[in-house]
Amino acid sequence: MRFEEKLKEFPKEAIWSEYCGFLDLDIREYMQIQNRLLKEQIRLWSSSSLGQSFLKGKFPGTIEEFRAMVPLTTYDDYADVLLARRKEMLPEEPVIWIQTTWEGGKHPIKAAPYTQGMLKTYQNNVLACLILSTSSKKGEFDVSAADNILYALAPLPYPTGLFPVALGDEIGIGFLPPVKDAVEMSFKERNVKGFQMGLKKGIEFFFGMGSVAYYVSLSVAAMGSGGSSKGLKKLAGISPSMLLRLAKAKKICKEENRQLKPKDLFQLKGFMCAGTDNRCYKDDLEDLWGIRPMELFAGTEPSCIGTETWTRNGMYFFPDTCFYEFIPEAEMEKNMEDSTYQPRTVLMDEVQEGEKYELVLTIFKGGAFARYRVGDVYRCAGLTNKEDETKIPRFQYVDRVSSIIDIAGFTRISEYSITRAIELSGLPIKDWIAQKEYKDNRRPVLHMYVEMEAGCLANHAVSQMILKEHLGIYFKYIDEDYQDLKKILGMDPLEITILKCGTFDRYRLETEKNIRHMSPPAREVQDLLRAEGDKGGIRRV
Amino acid sequence: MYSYASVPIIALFCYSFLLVSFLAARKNKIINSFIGLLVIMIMWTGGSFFMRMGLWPYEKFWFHVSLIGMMMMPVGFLGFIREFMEVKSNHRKGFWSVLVLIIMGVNIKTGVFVAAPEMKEIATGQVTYIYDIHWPVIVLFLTEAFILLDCAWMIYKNGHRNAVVMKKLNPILLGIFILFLGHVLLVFPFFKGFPIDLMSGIINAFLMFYALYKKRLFKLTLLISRGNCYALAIVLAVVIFYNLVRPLEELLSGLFHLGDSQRVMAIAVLVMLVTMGMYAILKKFFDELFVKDELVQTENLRDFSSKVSKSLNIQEILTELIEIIQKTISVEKVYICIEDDKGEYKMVQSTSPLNRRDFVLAKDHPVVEYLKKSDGCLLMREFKRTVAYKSMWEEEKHQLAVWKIECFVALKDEEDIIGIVMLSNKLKHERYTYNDISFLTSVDSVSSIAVKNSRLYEKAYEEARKDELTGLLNRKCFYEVLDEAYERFKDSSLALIILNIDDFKLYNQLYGDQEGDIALQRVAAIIQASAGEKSYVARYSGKEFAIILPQYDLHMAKKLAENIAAQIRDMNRHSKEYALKALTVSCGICGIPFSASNPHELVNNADMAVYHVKRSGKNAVMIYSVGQDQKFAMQAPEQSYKKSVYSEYASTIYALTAAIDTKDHYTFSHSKNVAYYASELAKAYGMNQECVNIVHEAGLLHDIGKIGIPEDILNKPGKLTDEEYEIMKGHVEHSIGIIRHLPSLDYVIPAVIGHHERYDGRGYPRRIAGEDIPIMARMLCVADSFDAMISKRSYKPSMEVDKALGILEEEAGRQFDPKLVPIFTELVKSQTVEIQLD
Repeated sequence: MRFEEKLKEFPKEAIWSEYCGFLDLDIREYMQIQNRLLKEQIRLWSSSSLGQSFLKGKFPGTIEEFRAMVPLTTYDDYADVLLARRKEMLPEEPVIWIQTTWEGGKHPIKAAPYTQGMLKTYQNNVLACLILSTSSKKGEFDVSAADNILYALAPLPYPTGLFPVALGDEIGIGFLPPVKDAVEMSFKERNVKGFQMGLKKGIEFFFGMGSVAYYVSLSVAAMGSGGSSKGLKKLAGISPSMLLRLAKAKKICKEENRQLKPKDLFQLKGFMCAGTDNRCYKDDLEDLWGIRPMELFAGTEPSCIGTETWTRNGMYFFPDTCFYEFIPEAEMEKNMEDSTYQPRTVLMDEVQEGEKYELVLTIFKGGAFARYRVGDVYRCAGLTNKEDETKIPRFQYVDRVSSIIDIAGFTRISEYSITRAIELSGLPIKDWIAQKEYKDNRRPVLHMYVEMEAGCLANHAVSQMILKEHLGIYFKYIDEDYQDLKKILGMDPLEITILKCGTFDRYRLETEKNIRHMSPPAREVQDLLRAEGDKGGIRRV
Repeated sequence: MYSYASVPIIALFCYSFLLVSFLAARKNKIINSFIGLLVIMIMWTGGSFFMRMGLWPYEKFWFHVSLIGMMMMPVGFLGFIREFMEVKSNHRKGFWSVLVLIIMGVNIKTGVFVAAPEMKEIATGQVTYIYDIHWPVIVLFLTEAFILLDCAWMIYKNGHRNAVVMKKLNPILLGIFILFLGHVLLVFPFFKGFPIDLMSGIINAFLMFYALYKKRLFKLTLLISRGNCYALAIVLAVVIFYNLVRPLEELLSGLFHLGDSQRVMAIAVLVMLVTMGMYAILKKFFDELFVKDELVQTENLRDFSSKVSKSLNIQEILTELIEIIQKTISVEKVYICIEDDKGEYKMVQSTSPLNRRDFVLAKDHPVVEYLKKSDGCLLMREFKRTVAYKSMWEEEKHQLAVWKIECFVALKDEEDIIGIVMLSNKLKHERYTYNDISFLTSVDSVSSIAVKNSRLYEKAYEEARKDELTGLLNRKCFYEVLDEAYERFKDSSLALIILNIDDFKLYNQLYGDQEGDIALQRVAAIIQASAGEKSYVARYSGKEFAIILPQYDLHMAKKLAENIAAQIRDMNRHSKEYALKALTVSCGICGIPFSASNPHELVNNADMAVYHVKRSGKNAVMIYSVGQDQKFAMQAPEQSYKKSVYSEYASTIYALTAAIDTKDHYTFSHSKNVAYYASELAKAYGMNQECVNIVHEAGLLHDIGKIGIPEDILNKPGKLTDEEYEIMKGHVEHSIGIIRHLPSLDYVIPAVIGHHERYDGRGYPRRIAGEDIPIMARMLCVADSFDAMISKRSYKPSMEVDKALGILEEEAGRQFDPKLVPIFTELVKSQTVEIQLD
């Protein structure tokens, strides 16, 4: 039975319990599901050629053996099989391959197989997100087949493109613009068309990456404010009730002497956002739309794995998507220092409130990835929650792991990308570190602290502006996602601070160690700046 | 239009019929509000009808009854819909009720809103009612309109976002619409004289009835009471005779020339006969329509109960269970899984013998977990919508989908599930109904008891017959089976083999009771597998097995015995942890009629043959023959055990201990001391010299693995760190690693590997406990600890002997074998053992 029919057939409590019932689990029941599904996956994965390439003839019989025998993995470990799409090596036949950009300049894409079982689970979990996004308390929700969703995400084969497909099988929610048309449109065209259709049909849901949603929201506000004849022409055909609302909104804006906001025109039932840096945009988005976006976590490899609830206070991981392991912060650091060190992991029933963890996943239902370091860091926000009436741990997204700098969910900058950009630019940069920082208006930036070759300063023009322009151009050259930051969001996320010549040497002398290039610990950055002198102005993470 | 007078009667009857039925039903708020609404409708219809009929007490009374009914109708709807939609907030029903009643009170008193009509006879002789309507009547209309608006608002507020409620509410809304339409149509001339309002009332009542039925608030069978059938039959008879009485009178007087009194009598008899006939027809009709299935179910269930209560055979019970389910609710396939010893639910019976039988529901299977927590049946379509379903494996989902499983029924013994019945789709792809579930629940309770009893019986039967350790027949049963076999086969032939394991006591001493039990199980498995299905295998005594072989001659029995003996000899060849001693058996064979004439003689003679084998060096097969013993010694490929093998390897042992001496002198002297203490303990314990020697060698070699421990840890003056202690603990494994390369010394391994095990199971490396630790290892443990305590070491001074003995006594039962400690302390105290201080 489709979700749409269930809405007519079953009472709300039954639907809530089917899709959001996992929130009522206690940790023992949660782990029971986790362990049981992992046993199935161990059997499937171990007997596949892919699994055997790691296990070398061994067959783990228990969860403990599995964790002991299988090392922690990264995409590099799977690249030869998955990029060549060698489905005969996989635990189960994939139905669809999802892909995304991988590491700028080095690996263009990464692909992940999705099996039938994974897709069914994804579908259920996406519906759970849809329900929860409209909920104001436990058991209360408002979803209807007549609703429309403004969808500001990339189409298939990107993972976000799976959302409308999965939803479309279950409920006839209208996508603005329709998916089949959106595929052909540019980002800007999609927004304009979506807004125009929204004015005719109304918008009940909005789903996008935090950064993109913010940009789209500003565009919607601008389009709504457009009072010129051209603007009006564009808006021709909108419903009388919407025209009335538009007029009323303009009157209010005039009285309050402010710009028109989407909330003046639309009353969203549900607002979902995904991706990184959402916390930078959530407050603004709430102000623009009148409701706070509900964050969910979905990735290329694991599909949709977690969601916030009506309290918007931390995410819960779905128990049937992946087996979750967590690398404690201290172990992460140890591993950063020594890449050969195998960090220890803890399980969902072992996490501690307030601790930071790197997420490690084993995908269930014939998925390819086992003990996979997805590259995200979460903080355990609590083990129970009175407000949500939950008895399972909830998490807050912190950021990507230190080796990757992710800006607004668009680009993943690695040490390799930066080294390559410096090489190509030919700039006489002697040493550098890079980290993600937040500007005063809470927007993420890539901040590079560079030290120039002392001998070249006399012959080279190396002002901060020149460095920024130069490196920016080469970042765009080697990383298409970086280019999109400017193109789509109008962002130029690079900040450069030139350090006094000899700063790095002085640091090494004082501390007797090297500072790592990517996201070094805050204390070490302070020591470096102290060695150089205070530079201030930007708040560090 | 007089002929339409039957419409209000029918309406009144319908309402009364529903009212009587629902008064008998189980009450809840919705049913009560529906009953309230029916009363209101009866007041409205009945009041109007009785007024027109001019019944007692007087027309004005019935007018007001009817008017109150009509005015209260929206209030009734408001209350009914509120309960139907399960609106929790306290709505204004009370207020509206009071308001309407006040208005009606005023109206009764003054007639200010609408006065009672005046009766007027018109030309045709019929009576008509003239209403004197004035503007205050608008108060009535407005009140009604406000109540209806209130009702509409309540529906909108609670229903516009709830498609499910609105769907269920649709028949009621349709009914209200029809009721409204009926009243509107009254004003059209076409319907003049036809009580279209009452007709619409009937339709409305039935639509409400339908809505309640869809909401599963009652069973249709509640309508089929004997009283209802009588009432219906009487009403139909009255209606029929009301219309036929005049023609009938004419017919009777015209055709049969009957007088008045005779006519009345004849008609009365006819009415009675017709009423009774009607009752019979109606009862049959309703039974066919509603009750037939239930009757069939009850009959089948009675039949099933009677059959299964007479049987203690689980297969029979399950066959009956499948049959009754298929017969009663037309299920395509039924599969039954019964709990096995491991707590898993294995499929044992299904509708088709061709179905796969390796299907198992694990004890942590979500269906099992769910059924444990719930009662009765679980529908697959409902289960799919639970959180528990999330932990189902894709393969499990697939298998259940292939079998089209739609329903699970747990056979429960209080809280425990003893079996699970899985039902596939129904034959006509109908859904499982409420009746099916009720039936299955009844079947479940009957069959659960039957299955439980049969399992208990089978278990008790098995336990009485079988040996717990090996699963073979026990000694008592052996004699029974032998007697039975003798009776059956005395005229053909019957052979008996008795197998006695050689040196099994030594085996137990070497490896511990646990290994001994494992060996017995493996021997039993070999014999069972070799003997075949027509033979009977029993554990005759502790280490003796018997095989009853119907229709075997002595030659065939000898071949079988040789085969089994060879398998047993090879049994330990591939043991994993360390080389276990090879086991051999001494076999005695006797046969009827060849060398015995009755079972008693058969057993005695086979025993005698075993005795002869034991006396002649064991490990052989012998057939008993009268007057002449024949011994068939087997060609053993290797001698299993050399009695004095350790003496041949004494030099190797000393070479090894000397090697440790160069690295750690303390360990060398310690090993010698432990060997001395342990061998003395073994002697005092009553072991034979053979075992005492093994204990001695084991003592010498027990710490040989310390060769592999770094010297700085070995000779560290202070306390060891956790890490160092872990390394130190590895010496046991190292010892085994060294000794296992010397196959002839492997007999000391069990003692060496177990000398750091604790009696309470908290030792290392295997954490075995009690008698599972080989006795020799337990002896080494006492001796090792004692010597360690009284010697001076780099990290501690020596301890007083008395104090050390005190600690041994204190730890008896925890670290040490409580039987050995008193023996050892006595040896020391009596100075039988000399304290070695080197």
